[in-house]
Amino acid sequence: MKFLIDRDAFLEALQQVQHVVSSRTTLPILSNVLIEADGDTLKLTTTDLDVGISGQVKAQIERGGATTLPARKLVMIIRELNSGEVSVDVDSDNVASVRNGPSFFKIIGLDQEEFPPLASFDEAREFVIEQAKLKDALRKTAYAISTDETRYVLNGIYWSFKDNVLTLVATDGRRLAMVEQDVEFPKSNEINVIIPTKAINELQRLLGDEGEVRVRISDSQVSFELNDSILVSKLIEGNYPNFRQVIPGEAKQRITLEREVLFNAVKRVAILTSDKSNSIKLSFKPDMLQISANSPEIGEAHESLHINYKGPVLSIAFNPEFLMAPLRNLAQDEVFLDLIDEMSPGVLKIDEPFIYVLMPMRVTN
Amino acid sequence: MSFSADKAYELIALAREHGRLAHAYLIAGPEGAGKRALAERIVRLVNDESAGELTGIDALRGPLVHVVRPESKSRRIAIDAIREAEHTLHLSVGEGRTKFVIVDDCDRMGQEAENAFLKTLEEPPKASMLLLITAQPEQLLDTILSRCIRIYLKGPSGGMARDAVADQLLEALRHHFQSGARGIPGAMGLMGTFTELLKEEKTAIGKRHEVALKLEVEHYRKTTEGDWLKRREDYYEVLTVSEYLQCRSRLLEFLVAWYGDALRQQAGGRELDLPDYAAATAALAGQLDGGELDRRIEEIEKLRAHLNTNVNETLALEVAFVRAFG
Repeated sequence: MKFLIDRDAFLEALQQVQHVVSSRTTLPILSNVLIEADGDTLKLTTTDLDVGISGQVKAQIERGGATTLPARKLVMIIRELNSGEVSVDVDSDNVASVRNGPSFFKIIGLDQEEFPPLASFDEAREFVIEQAKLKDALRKTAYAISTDETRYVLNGIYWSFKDNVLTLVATDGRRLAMVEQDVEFPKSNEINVIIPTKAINELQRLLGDEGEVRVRISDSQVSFELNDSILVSKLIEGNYPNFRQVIPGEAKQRITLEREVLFNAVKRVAILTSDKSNSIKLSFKPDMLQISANSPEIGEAHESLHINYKGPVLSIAFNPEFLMAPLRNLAQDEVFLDLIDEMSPGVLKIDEPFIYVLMPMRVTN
Repeated sequence: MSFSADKAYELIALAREHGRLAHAYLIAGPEGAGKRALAERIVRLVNDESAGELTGIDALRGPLVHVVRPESKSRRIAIDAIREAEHTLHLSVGEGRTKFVIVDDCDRMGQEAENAFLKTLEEPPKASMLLLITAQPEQLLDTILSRCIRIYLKGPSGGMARDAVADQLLEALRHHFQSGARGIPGAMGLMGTFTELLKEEKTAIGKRHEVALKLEVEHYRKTTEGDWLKRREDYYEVLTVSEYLQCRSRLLEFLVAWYGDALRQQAGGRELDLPDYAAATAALAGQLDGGELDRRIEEIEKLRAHLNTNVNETLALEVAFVRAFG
């Protein structure tokens, strides 16, 4: 196999697939990237057996073929090269000679026969979603995924295709984010799946602002096809908790808040929280919101905001990180906070189908 | 109640026909009872691959079958190994197929690992089954036992399964009691043989792993990124220690069996662990009374318990041999 390729294009293509390669693999071949040269296209593939990703890049191919090369080393080399043309020549022993101007590298790969193939999707449900829509939906939910490894079903985003609506849900048991998007598909395609965090992260990296993504779901795997790339992942097995149950019904107070102002104030006040007293208090009085934090061992902070509020005096405490997460990831100027009382979950909404449920914290005094 | 492996398999096949398969089985029984073969047959039965010859549980490894066994220096099953196994159970593999986690020598789970395993054991994800294999079910927590359907297998007919090392040890035992060597010198002589045999086994295990490592090194020498080969080297080093401990524990089993047979003969029992040494153990039964035999077995059991802690191996062996054979 021998090909010539522009250094910048090669680097970009490699970086798109390299995140899947983990540093502690169970098989040496998994630290390699599969390179296949055919026609005028170079196909790059990596996998960790749970998630696999494959991308394409144009190259001038002088001799077709395939090999696998150590992914990290290859990325390091290409990154350090000067811009311009890179020539890669791989012999039958999988020894690759990389040339760029005066630089020369020899790296040794493994036979491509050892590389595990990505799953194929012959009998699968198919959905087409706009990339921009999906990207936005993932951004609004992914931060709420649980990182507690013992709660497997929560280690991913729940995707529910039903009644021409795609519902995405992520929760860690203390907060929950949900987005709904209109997507057209036949009734027979309705399905619920849980897609693991690692695949979500890779998908977010691949999604752009234009074009569409083709989603295929088989009984054990999911694939995303977009911009000449394919992402394949296993699905998490299990029943996702009944999340609709935790979304409170009628709210007593709806408070309109400026997202950025609220975010900055919370961020400042949160400096004076500690591991022991990790909560901030929101106190609503007529036309006034006071945000305060108090850690006996450090000190205290408070900040007042003028808001439009006509209800009774009400105080509620939240984990500041959990309150900031959606504020950081939303784009709207205005957010609505729905409250019932100080012991009931707060609900953050915007003027689009998005809901964020946040459990309050109990505070003394 | 204990079954032969074939009978147990029949019962499980019957349970499957009636849709009453449990999600966790504990397969217990002495060495040579066919525990692993039974586990493999269950895997093949459930995933409809019963045709073909048995290949051993390791050959089944793949997306559907995850095998855990003690691979640490203290021959323990680490909590991380359990977590990794659980991870594979939580990924879906498609309709109509069942995922398996086989925990071989599951008595080597530490309490921490056992507790980590409880939740999965009680309620594994759908379409998954857990098979626990052990020769010493009494070492497991009650909470583990109560969450499994227990299958006790009978030992092989004709006594314990033996290999060349075991035979040499048994010959040494026969010689020890025939020669009438008594006291500390006699005990030390026997211990000398015992440790010599162990040492030979250890060298053999080490050699075997050295060859395996060499093959891997040859294949991956120039190619791997990171510390793969270093990790493999460590892995084999640890595996050598782990297998050595297993071998030591197996040899101790024969010492217990020797006195056990003498006790059985005193009581008029027929099923002996070592039937071809019946004459020697009968002679021993004539020399020592039941209480003394009992005490000696206890000494060896004590030694086993001590060896699970970080005692000085030689010292522990010396003390135990003097007490059990002096």
